[in-house]
Amino acid sequence: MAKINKFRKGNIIFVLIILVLLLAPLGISYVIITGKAQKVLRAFELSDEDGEARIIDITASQFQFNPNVIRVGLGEKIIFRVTSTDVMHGFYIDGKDVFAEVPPGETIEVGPLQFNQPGKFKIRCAITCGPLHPFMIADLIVEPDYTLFVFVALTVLTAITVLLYVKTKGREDRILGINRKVKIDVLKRVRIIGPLLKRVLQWRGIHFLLILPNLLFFMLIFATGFFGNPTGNKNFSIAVVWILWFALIEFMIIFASRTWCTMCPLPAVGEWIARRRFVGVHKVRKWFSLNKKWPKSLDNMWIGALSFLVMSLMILWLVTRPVISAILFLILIIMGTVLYLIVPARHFCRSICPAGAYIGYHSNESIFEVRSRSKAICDAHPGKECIRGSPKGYGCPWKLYPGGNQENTYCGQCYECLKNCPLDNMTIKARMIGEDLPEKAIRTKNNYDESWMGFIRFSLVIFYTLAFFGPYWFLKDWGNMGNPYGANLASINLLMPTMGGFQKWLNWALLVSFVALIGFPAIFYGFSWLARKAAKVKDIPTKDMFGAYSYVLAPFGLTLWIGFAITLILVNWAYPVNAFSDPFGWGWNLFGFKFDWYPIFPNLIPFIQLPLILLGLALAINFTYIISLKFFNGRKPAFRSTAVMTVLYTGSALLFVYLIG
Amino acid sequence: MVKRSSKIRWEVIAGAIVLLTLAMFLVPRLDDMVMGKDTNTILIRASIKEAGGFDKRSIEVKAGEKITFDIYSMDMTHSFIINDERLESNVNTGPIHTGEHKTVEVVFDEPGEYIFRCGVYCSDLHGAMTGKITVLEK
Repeated sequence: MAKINKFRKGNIIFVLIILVLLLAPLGISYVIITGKAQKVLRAFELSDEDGEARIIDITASQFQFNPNVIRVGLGEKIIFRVTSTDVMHGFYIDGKDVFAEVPPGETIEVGPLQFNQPGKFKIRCAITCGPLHPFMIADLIVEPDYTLFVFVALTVLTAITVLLYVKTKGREDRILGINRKVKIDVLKRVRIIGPLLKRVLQWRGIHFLLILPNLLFFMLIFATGFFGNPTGNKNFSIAVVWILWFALIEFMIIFASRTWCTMCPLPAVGEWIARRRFVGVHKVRKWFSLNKKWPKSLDNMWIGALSFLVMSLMILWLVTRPVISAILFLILIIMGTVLYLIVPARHFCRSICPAGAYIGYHSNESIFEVRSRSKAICDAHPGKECIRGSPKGYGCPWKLYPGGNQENTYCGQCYECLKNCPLDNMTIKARMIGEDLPEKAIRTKNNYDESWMGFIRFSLVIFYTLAFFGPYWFLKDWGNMGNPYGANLASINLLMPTMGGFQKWLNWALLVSFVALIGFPAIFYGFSWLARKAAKVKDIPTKDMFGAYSYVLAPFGLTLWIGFAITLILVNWAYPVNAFSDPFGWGWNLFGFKFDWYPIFPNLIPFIQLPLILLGLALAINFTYIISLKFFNGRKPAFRSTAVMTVLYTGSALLFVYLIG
Repeated sequence: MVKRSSKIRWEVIAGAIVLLTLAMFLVPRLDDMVMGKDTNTILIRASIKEAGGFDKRSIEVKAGEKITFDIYSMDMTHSFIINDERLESNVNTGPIHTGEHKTVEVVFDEPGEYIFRCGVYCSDLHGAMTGKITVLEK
């Protein structure tokens, strides 16, 4: 009984925090959007309501608006005079029912429009004008920007609230008030679904059946990427991969950990050849595989983290030119196949694949895990079928000891261990977010590969937000090498980089690499050093604290990425949906639908992103405190070092808030 | 032994299905089927000249027949115009935005060569984005 009472008390605090985190911004957004705040403000702010409309001149060119940041007063009437200096552009403003056409060389007038909602809105191009069209954006800031003010206040308030919470109530086994050690054995405890899921996962065909549709999509991606429409947003290979898949993955990590790796077709071909089986069990023979050992120095996330960074350096080409995407996937599928034949295990997925690396890194926050019911039983059991394999399944292709596995990072959820285990000791568990994160942070604090994965992912969500949804054209131009052409295989010569284009790209590459690899880690190290000073402990080296603390970027970064993914979907949902009906962008209409592009709830996007930022911030502060408790064995030094780190987290959150609000 | 052969059978079926996924590369060949093959409708896909311009640059039609041109814009806003004194009136589809179709019906009475071009500035080589219609005697 006592245990249940404690759990309930924790729940009440949790509910209160959730109220602050989620409902406050939503409530405020309601007040602002319905214009209730304006009625009060209008009394003394807006004297010129019936005055003349102000004219703002804007030029549109591939792929920018000039000026790119436009400030207008609350309640002001504006006429936009838009001129296109090159091709046909569109003119759309978030939250306004305006879809204007701007023909080449002509000037059109939009308005007068009145702006009654304070905050930052996006002016977007509404007519596809080339490969970078979806990212042709200018900021429209309606001043005074109460929204940003409220957002900043809420962020600081959240940081202070969580700090106060950890100071007074913080415990090692509680995260934001709830018991983080609660786990549910899904296969045993959940009625009907549990046993059914177990039968499905123990069936040998399931892996093949999950891979098959994705393999089909990959073949379509190659076909469309090489031969389809050269403009990205009209091509299946871009629209479905980089809008739909990219966004869904971030959600999948939270709810289902590495489930993408279960169904990923990239290494499947190699696996099938090496096993000489699609479905059944067959020992790997030397005939089809070289059976080499993977070098120990490469058995980490370094290459994966760096390949994600390199992919990101090319991201503006990758997500706009179908042929570049197709080439990337071709390289990955060849590498996955060849590596599997040399070393018959999922080392490509563990150490090379960029997506595998970041999915693995973040999957420690997942509410989903594959573990043994009791590690003691596995340790005592001499058979170790989960490692060696049995007639029912292969030994772990991810080279783990599934019975003793303690983290999600390298568990690819292929469920071979579930099929193998003669003791029925393997299961799926549902758990609290970051159930084992602090323990993992302490255990692998000196594995800096994952630390740097964290820095890269965290820096890049900010760069992606800037490059894809920001108004700063020069960043996009750098990343895009100043190239205005889309390309498929036939027109790939248009992508030949010029000297000037290469120099532009070098700016982008150096800036991103510096921030992600050196700048942000250096700041993080500085704060870790300050945290150690503040805690007044001498026996713990700064690099240990730096390594362990860096793991809080996993939940923090993931919430920011989910926010980015939501924006991506809400703004660009029409492209992937249409791509199913017209995969090649040739004007087909296979399923009888074709939607016009328009963003869903564009002026609500910041209000959807903010709770996610605040949740990430709260988790980061709380996890830092728990990690500190494990380091120092005292509440006071733990709180002091957490307070220092909170300054950094809040600063990072404020930077992101500034970008969206 | 029976069991073993049934297992092998499943492998064969699975392998066959995997090979079938390669059929995705044949999907582009379905173009004619998907778009319909009406002899009097001519589908022209328009890209900027740098990427090839109009995909059909030389078209033969017969004089006196009603021809429907179905123009599809691939990458930019393009249009389809024929300015020629021999026609009753000049042909102009107006702007066709990326991913959109527009159709226009034309009857060529006099045999000869007609030039069609893009009427909306679309790239540096916009002026060179043209094609030729050869109208044959009835």
